[in-house]
Amino acid sequence: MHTNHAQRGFATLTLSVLLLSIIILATLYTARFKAQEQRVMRNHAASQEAYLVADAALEQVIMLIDADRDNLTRSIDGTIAGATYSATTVGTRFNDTARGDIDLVDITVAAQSADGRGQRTFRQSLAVMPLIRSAPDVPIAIRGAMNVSGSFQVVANPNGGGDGVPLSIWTSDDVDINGNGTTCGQQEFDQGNCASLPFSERGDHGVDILDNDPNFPDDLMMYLFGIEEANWTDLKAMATAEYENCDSLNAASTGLIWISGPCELSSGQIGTEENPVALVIQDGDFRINGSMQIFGMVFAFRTPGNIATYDFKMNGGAVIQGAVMANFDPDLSNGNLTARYNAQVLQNVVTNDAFRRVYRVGGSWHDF
Amino acid sequence: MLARKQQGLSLIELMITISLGLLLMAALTTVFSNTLGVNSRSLQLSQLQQEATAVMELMISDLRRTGYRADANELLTDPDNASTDFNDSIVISLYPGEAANSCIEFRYDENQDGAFNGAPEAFGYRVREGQIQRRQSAASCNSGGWQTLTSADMLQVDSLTFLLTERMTMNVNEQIVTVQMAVSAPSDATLSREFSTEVVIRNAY
Repeated sequence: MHTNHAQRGFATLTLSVLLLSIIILATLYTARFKAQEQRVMRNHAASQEAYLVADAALEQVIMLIDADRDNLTRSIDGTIAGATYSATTVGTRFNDTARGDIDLVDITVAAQSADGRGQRTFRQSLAVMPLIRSAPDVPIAIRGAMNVSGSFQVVANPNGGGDGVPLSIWTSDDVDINGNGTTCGQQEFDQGNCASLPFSERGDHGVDILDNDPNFPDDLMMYLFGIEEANWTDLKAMATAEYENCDSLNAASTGLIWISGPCELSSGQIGTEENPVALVIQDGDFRINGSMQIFGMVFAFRTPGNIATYDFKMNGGAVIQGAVMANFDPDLSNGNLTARYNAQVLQNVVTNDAFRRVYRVGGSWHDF
Repeated sequence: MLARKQQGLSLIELMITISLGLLLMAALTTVFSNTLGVNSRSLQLSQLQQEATAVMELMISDLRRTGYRADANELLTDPDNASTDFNDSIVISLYPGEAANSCIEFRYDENQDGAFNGAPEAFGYRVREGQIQRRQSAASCNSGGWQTLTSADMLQVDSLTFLLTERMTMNVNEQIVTVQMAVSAPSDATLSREFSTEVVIRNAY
């Protein structure tokens, strides 16, 4: 009986030990598999992290390029959330493309996850292109009619209508010159003979006035900036500055300046020949009363769908060195104004850094 | 004392001992089988998760490259000669009999030569008979010849859908493909996982 007791205990013990060891083995196997899974997941997370870091680094590099558009070939190292990246950019110049003189920048960003386990390399190209498609080739362009009075002078682009053919006013409707208005050549103007040796004057339209032109662009914004009028917010978003009015503008102002409201100016100077402005006045009167000098181009823009008429008045010896444009029939009543085509100013409006923008080249992103 | 010891166990004592033993054994067996069951479910879930994550990751990292062409710069410098074969190449359809939007086709310039080389640069993914397949030889969504990526022993793909949308962010027009996938374990349908990712197609414009 005593031995029986012992043998029964032995069977239970053996069975328990057997079952326990099976369970331990199975658990160990699962644990090993789980540890493996953990490793796989950690690597996966590191790869995801490297992807996110590379993505953020690419955006950061694009910002840095945008901040200094002169310096397109450089190496940039940075840290994002403890993870490091290094980027190289190579800029190449292409002149005379369909979009003007452009710089293409090839970016390579190599990023790591914070623990160094994951690595990703992204490549993307950028284009640094002029905001203004091509410089306006005429000092005054109006989508509508032009009925002006007063003693204004318009100084023509000597080659605006083709080689040797001057162009001073370009409109889609009639041009009516009243008062002492004249248009003349650059040399005549420099010598003070604009009034005595004009191309056109009251009752005498010369070839330099191209009115009722059926080829006048339907969309002046598209013509100038390559952006449809309906998408004007895209252009506004690219502006260097946005103001409610023109009060804060001065000689140091440059770049694309968006004025959403009336622009009233009296005296002083806006922009310089080297650093001109491109003023877009959206749905507002444009009035100069005084000896204001503007270097650059002024574009009076009426939002599509808006049918209000806005003033376009320049009096008191105002001088615009560059070009004036409107995409609507403005209420003109001018006196004592000079609009002079200034090739240097208009070239700077296209090529200056303040007028160049960074665009992503579609189809250039890759991670291999 | 000695005489009593030789008496042996009474029937009652024996029955109590046996039933206690049986109870103990039953409890032990339950714990045993439970532990094994949990272990096996855990293993299956891990396998399911790994398999599904891997195939999902493969699909989305491939999809992201859609539209890449090595001569992208020519769009600006020499637009007349720039390749156009990679433009808007995403096509979403289905294999006959499968759910709508369960097959996607797209292209990118894999060998970076700036030209579309046909089959090697035509990519695609779809679901067919509960398995994920990858496009081969530029076969279309409604034809065979695709390569199965997943294994029917490990993974049952219950649904896979692709949805293409466009949105404007910061003046950049972005194309987004939303990928949704639901999977379950072939041996145990209660083990299931759902995945959903938005893939931004950076080369869309």
